[in-house]
Amino acid sequence: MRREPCNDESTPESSTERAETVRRLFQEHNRALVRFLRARLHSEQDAHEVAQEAYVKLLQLEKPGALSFLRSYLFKTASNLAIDRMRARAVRHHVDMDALFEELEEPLTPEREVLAQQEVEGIAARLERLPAQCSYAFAMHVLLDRPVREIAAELKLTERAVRYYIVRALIACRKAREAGS
Amino acid sequence: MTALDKAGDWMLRLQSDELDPRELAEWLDWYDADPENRDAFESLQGEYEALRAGPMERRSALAQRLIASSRHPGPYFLGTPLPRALLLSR
Repeated sequence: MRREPCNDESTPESSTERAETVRRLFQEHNRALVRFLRARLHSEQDAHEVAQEAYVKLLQLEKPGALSFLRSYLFKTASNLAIDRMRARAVRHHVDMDALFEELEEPLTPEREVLAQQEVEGIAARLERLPAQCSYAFAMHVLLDRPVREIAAELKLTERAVRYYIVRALIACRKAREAGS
Repeated sequence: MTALDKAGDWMLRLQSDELDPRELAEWLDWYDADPENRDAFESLQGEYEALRAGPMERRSALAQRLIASSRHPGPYFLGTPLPRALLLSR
């Protein structure tokens, strides 16, 4: 959906007014916008870049609408840009696979191996205390990028139930981290 | 449900390709409604990102261990009772 905003309330006319409208949107919603994009892109840097692109698109609108409508438009535009970026990333990932395999074939340094192993042990020990569905759903989604929808289909559960299990595991990790720090 | 529970649920819902504008507006209202909500969301998102950071071999090793220890619950594994609402809603 790339619908243009319509004028359903007061309409900013000049570029100064438009810039002011975008500035207000930034002040009121940028924090949420970046968090939204981080959830989609799993990258803070990408989230900030896509947010900037979305603001630029907003500034380029010929007929900006009311502020309330522009908020929806901003998030929709950012969401579309995030999808474009994920597609580009998928193509890049495909192209880079040879390099990735070469990197994985390189042996770890002993120090790196010990650290990685300790971290794996610590997290695993916490998560293994949870019900099996929690650690399974967590591993499949958070670590292996499997969509919630697919895990739900495999386990014959609702998506909400799978989210519940993943969140339980995430909260357990957070609490353990807090307790350890 | 605590703010952390809701935050985690929202974080995962926002990842969905099927997120509709109504849901997004609902999340924004929730996120903006209370600093506790924002803190919970950002804290859990930080945890999520930290767990995914680092070398791929670590993630893979951890995933393999967790999957093995859960003995792949399979479609009939219902060892932990879920809140009834979760069994019925999307």
